[in-house]
Amino acid sequence: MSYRAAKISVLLFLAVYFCTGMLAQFFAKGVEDAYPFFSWFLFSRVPLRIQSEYAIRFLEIGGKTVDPPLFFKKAPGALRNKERRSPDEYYVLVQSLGGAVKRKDAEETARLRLEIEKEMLDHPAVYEISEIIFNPVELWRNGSVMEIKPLAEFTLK
Amino acid sequence: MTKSLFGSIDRIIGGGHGFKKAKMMVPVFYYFLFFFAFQKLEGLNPFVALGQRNFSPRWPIFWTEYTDYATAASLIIVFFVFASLTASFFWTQRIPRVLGFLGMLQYHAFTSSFGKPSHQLDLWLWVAFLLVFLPKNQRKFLLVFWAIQAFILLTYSMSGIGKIVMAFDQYFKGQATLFSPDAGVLHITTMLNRMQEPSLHGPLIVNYPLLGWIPLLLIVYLQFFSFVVAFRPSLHRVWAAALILFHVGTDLTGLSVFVAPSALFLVFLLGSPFQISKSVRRTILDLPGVSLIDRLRRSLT
Repeated sequence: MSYRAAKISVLLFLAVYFCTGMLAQFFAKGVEDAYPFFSWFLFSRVPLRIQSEYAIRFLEIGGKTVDPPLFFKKAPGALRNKERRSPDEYYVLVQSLGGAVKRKDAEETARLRLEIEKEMLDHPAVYEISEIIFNPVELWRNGSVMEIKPLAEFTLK
Repeated sequence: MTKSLFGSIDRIIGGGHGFKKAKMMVPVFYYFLFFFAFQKLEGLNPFVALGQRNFSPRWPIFWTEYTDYATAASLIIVFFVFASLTASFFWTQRIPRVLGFLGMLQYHAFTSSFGKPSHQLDLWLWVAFLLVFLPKNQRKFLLVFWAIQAFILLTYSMSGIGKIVMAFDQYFKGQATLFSPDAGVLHITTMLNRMQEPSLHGPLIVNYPLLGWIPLLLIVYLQFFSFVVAFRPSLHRVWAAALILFHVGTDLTGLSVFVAPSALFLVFLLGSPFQISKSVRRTILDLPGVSLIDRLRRSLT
């Protein structure tokens, strides 16, 4: 290959990578569809000032009422095994469970409940899955949320 | 435009003066690769113990469907170790470099087969791919070396473009944007709420939002113009140091941990064979944006 042809190949490679990454970002069904190409749109959106997500709260642990209810992600290691799942995996799992409950998908709800309870909850407990609305700064500062909409309550034996 | 690009590349590569230095840096990549692969052996048992949860193989590891998960995981990591070791020993030969790339590809595809990949090793994968084409000819050798630098910097520019495009989108939707002073705090608290991990500097930025916002704007500048820097050798070392600091910063605030690319900055940009030493003033005048203002100023006077 001549030096000129090598230069053309290099520029072509860079152009193909750039275009494939961008096309994957805007047109693919999922951003990972074009593996191993990637758009590198990381942290590109600034998070909203008012956010909503699903959350699990313990209402009872070991037969005792928890007042106020304890957020799962604030729960100590005995209730939430950090070794077995990363916080990110946990987050995705809880969001999936919330979504399944909200669209009344009983089969998916049962599957996700089993996954959460098997992997993370070591005690008998009553817990609820809720949709919470919050300002991320206030939630982080003092744990306050603007609204809690309970979706379902589950008992773990 | 192509002619101008060709001319710029020719000027950077010059008469092949950087060849000796470039030749010294390439094996360092493979040493890092081997070190990285060897470290993964340590994590083999937990990897296997994790089991097949959410395992959905990517196309490069299609063959794992014909074997059990534990065997596949062991084969991939052991092959990665031996392939990278071979490439470290015989990096001047193409076949060992192909092996090094295949080892990396298998490992990358494996770790990307559990849902959303982390992209920590994307750059390593593509650099290993580009190094397969490393020729003996000095000028072409330097061209491949430059292609690697340009590729690494291009991905950062893509990230910068993403942030600017989305800023416009969010502005028209009436949302907080990159240009809102609380942008940094929103990023950090959202991530801290999700990860529930302690952060060294997160609380400081929550109390003083400008400490998050100003670096965020600097990061976008750094990212957006990264590809331009590929054509300005006087900035290679500065940009490498700045991008490493950027990753150190995101780690300290708890936003994201992105360690792996820093080794590539050390090898390919901090040790750039094309680096031209200039005075501090001249280097500042080469900065994207500053150079444009300087050119305008000179055309007016």
